[in-house]
Amino acid sequence: MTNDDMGSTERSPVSRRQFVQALGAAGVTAGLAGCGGQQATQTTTESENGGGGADTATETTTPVEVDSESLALIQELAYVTNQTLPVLPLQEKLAQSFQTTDDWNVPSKDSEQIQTYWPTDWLPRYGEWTSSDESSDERMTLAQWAVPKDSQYNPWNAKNFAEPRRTLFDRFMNYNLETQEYSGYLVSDWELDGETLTLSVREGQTWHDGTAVTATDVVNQIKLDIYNGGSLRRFVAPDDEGNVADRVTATDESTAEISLATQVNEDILLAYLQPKYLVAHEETYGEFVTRLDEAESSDERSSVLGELTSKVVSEPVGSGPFTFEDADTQRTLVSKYEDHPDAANINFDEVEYLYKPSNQSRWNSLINEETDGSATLFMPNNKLNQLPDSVQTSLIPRHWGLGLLFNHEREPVSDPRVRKAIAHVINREDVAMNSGAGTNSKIAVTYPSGLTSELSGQVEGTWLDGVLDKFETYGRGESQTDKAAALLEEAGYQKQNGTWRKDGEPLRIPIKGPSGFSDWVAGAQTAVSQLNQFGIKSESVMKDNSAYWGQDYVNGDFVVALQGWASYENSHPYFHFKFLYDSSDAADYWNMPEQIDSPVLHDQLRDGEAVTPAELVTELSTAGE
Amino acid sequence: MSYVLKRLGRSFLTIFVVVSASFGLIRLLPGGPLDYLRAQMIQQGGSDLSTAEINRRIAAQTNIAVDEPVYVQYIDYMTAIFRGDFGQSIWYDQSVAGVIGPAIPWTVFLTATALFLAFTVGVSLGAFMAYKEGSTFDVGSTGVGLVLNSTPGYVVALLFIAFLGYRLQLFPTGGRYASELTPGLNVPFLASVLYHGTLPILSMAIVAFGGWALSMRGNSIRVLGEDYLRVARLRGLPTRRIALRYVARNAILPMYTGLMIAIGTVFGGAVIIENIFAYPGIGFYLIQAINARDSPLMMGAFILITVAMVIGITVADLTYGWLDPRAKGGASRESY
Repeated sequence: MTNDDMGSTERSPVSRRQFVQALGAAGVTAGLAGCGGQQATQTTTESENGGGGADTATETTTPVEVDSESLALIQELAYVTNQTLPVLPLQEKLAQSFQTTDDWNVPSKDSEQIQTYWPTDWLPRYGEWTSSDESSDERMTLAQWAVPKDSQYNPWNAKNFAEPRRTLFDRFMNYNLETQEYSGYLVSDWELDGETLTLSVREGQTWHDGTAVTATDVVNQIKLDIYNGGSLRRFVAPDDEGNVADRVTATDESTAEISLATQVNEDILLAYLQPKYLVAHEETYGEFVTRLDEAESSDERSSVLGELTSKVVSEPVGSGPFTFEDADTQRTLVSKYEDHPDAANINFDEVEYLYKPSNQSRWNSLINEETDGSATLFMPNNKLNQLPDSVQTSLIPRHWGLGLLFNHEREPVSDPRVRKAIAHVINREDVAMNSGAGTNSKIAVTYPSGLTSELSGQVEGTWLDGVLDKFETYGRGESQTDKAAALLEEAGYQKQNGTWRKDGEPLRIPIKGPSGFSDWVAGAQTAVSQLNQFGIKSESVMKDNSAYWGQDYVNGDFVVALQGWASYENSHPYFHFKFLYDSSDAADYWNMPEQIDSPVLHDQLRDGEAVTPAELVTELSTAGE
Repeated sequence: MSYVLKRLGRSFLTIFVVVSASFGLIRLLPGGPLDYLRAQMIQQGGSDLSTAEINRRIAAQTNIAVDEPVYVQYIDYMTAIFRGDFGQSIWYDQSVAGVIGPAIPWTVFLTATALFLAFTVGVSLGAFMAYKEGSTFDVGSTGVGLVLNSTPGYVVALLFIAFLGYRLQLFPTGGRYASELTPGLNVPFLASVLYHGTLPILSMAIVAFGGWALSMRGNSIRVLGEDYLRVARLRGLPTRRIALRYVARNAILPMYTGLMIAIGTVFGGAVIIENIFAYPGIGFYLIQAINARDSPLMMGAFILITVAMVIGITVADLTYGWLDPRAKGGASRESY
């Protein structure tokens, strides 16, 4: 991919997407071209109550709707990122998602329905992943990471919160990763009116013990999340957790209301609410909600939270389409809950989750067709080749990926010129190719700016529309050594005997990372060899995962570290910039200064080069209302 | 008697030192359970806890961790152990005994069966090789025994799981028994347990029997050359009696200590094998505990493995004199 096709906003998304997929599974693509679009048109509409909009697969390339005030702020933050490089975004990840097609009817791999988080969660609910007529398979088989018998389903405990959660519980809303649009699910509809957000709970939904799902359950879920440090807190009760109970309330059986402390951008609110599972069953969690609501001091609250976070729930009462049956050391079995509103869409009786604790075992299970699919799994090319033809691989944008993170208090990368030189030297296409191990699951970032959506072309088509020419690419698929050399010379370095030096000392860039993340390690090694070729003394220092995250990373004990460069949880640009400029990671671990100097893009937003990006991020959270 | 007391005292000292050293070393491990959770979240999408929540909890934990100096924690832990309290597993939020206890029988099943197989096959084969000393069979078996004995068990395990498990799909690739069955004393369940245990047991037995066979062969040949055997033959004793009571007994005797030590490894002998076959036994939970930095669980597993080993060696020591009266005389004649 060259930079040439970036200007055309409508065409390039399609062409890049097709390009990537054509590269991907040369043989299988032929079949899809015919049936994909049509099948995609029919299905989504019925189940979409709130979001509306995207009815056809072709619309996936429509630019995301955004108001002008938000857009200007997003562009400004992107420009600051592009010009100062607090991190260097290298690549965006595409999650590989697998579906077997011989016993199952599933949408084609490039249809819109697949572009959700995740297909195994949503397609069965919408009747889009069904057992085929000639199939004898009454049971869908998937995989789980934790030993089933040791798995538990208290999300606030978080440890061993196993995959069956995806069928046992329902999410608040659905979200299409490509169109970035929300549609109602357990929360069937919502309305934001000034500082009041009203949520409607889906009619006719019951818990697996037969009791009705009510607005109180939704309220309890939100409250427990807020008490546990969830991100909504800053909009609901920024100063004192003592008034959460007054601010999140059920006004009747099926309506929940959240009073916000300030006006908040609707997209951002929804992004926080959408992924939540409704787990807070009264019998199990009600006691905690009451005690937290009534707690009189934060000490009292922490002790209740301590109990909540160490509670183990091994036989959950959910409200999703499948109910818990049993779990042993090898598998968890869940069976269809006939009273779920979507039960009629599901034509198989059981789902089993087999214990597959490693990528290798998951690859083999897919190759053997022991499992019927996998929501997300990195599979290198040599294994992809062994997959039977009946297994289709779709690529789902993950809005996240590997980046180089700089420690802003450590020489030499505290100097933005050195960071930019590094960016020029690194050929991101090579990094993405090696990191992807022959698959197309990693795409090089074209404009290092903190914006995601490389696959659908929305960086150019939506977010940077009209200002693209101001942005630096730093050479996506090449090593721009001349530009790098000029920057280093400006920063006081000279090349002697093939090595860049300042005051006789060679320029050293050690890159630390977690050894267990093999795709990251491959990417880092590529960058290291490119830097060395250019004359920067670079080495990769890979540590045990827990040691890396628990020691090197959190203590800021690195010059350059490997880390995702965007928000892991949400795809709206607000979350990426919040992660980069207004998170505890940035402040405590990367030692980011609050104020930095950067050229100005929109002078109505800023005067002068000094900028506090966190303030722009806060402005963005309330913009457009 | 004083020798027995001294020997027991020394065993206790060994256990005490190992436990103390493990306690110290584990505290030097960087990272904690939440860091593991963070890595897991990024790698597997395995948690729904947000980054913000993880950070909040890390901060909360750091506040708790500073309240007691290490020596106080150490004294608390050691006194708790003597009361039989191994503490709470951090990762599983239940007692360490509750995690390890149910895993013990499964590990013992694997290791004990493998040991039994390896020992009986090894000893019989060794005896037969000695009997046929110098024959093609002897030379061939010695070669095979040497090769297998120097092959690590995990290599065999990986070959088994790749070919017999995934390629040919003859054996299950993990688990203790088929999920459909009800555990209990019924034939299908026991058959399934054996079926699931076959590959792990064989991986351990195949690499071990060669060693036993070679020792047995060596010992037997040495015994066959002894004067008292010539006397026995001259006395016209039946061959069967010579083979069993004269040769076998004396040849096995030097292997007794090795056998007791092998019995001592029943808890800790299958750590890697259990992980390869996703077989939730003690070793499986030990590796989980190390990855998740679950120190109470790690300590529990280490203590169990150490104690079993020390008991094995101590029993070998204390009973050897009884088996072989020539070795009576105590401390000057230890068997390891």
